[in-house]
Amino acid sequence: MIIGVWVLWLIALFIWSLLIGGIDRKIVAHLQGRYGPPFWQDITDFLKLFRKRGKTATRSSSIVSDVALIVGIIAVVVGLSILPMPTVGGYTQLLSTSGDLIILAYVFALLAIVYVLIGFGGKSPYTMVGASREVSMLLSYEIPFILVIVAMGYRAILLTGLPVSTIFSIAGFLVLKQKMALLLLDPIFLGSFLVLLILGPAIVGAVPFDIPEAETEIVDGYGAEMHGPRLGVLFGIKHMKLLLYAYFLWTIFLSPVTSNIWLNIIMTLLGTLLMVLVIYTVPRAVSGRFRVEQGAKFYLLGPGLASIVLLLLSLI
Amino acid sequence: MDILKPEKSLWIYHLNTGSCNGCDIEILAALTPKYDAERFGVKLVGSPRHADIVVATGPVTAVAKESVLRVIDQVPDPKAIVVVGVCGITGGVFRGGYSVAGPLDTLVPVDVYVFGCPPKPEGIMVGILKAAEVLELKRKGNYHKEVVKISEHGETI
Repeated sequence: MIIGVWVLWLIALFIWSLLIGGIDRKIVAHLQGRYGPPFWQDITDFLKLFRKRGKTATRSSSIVSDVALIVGIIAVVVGLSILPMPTVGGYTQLLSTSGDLIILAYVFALLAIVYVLIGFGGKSPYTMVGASREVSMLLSYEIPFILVIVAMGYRAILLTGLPVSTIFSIAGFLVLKQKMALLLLDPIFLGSFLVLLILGPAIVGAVPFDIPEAETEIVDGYGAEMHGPRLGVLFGIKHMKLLLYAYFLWTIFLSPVTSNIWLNIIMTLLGTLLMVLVIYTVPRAVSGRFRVEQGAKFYLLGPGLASIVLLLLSLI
Repeated sequence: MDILKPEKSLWIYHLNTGSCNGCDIEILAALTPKYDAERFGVKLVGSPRHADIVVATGPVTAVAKESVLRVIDQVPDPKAIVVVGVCGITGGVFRGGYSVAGPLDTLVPVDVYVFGCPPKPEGIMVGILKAAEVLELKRKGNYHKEVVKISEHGETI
């Protein structure tokens, strides 16, 4: 029963991720004084890609890109099975372990590695440059990301009194949310939330950190050789990665706990949209693209140092 | 329903085959807030493999010929080709020049011609929307080669 509900939730979230993509384009258009496309534009784009027939470049490796896309789909499904789903009486995880926050961190890293694999599988100079840029970005934002997650874990067990073995458990955060009205009232969680917001554009590949794609410099980077249905799957994975990160931020830090299932569902959908506006829409509407070294320096010096301070404070 | 119509999703690839940049500026003007081609579902893409419509400018120089043919070959089917500006249509002032290998329709089949030197963004947008109709006919398999000519102001000639 719960698996059936979860599959329906997965499908709803996928459609919502495409709608969020269209709403994002509409909002950016209005910010720039344009009408913009209809808000369902990304659904039309996604469906259209499955009706295209292209020729794969002879040098490209279809096997590598196909395997990468399958890994990407699996990573998205695993991520959504770990994140709590709104149910009657609050939020429930389909799969729950004592280290699911670490699995979630792996899911985001794996999705970046999917892009790297697609880039190296393309074997074009543009895709190779895109893949190497993705690796550089991964190395710069992954260190603060992991340090912040460790700081959050320590703080959660300190506040809940749960055993140390549950340090990286999302269930621990759900227990904590029952005790505290708002997680952000705690300075460590507030700092972690701000660092994760700043890391957001790099993790989801938004301007000013869409350095691995950079369509005006390296013709869409790692995805330059993708076409037709394969590009459609990559398009879907990119949307789901954005939704997954927004969903992660919303459910861990902000989502209020109510017993009404419909209220929980509506708040989750609107909450993910709010997070997408903050980490994706506004940065891409108001800024240009950074260079690779600027992006790496920014993340290692800004959120990098902040995450070390947060970790030290959480241990005190 | 518009949501299911592939002709409402037009990803265009801008191909300069040796243009003076006049037409290229007008293509970009069509994407700016004043004209806002994105309201029709138009999106400028970086790779020809992602494109539905190739918007080509310039007379096709001898140096660019091989690259132009390779790029157009990389666009997945169904695809439509729009030539913008008289240089791409006839060769313009460069016609017969030693370094000119075009015009484009002597090398690949062209679906829509947008006249002008350069054409106005209105004309370019009408050309792209006509190309969307061509794409739809190609998808349905009942496309019969028919030359579509658009004036620089956007009227069908």
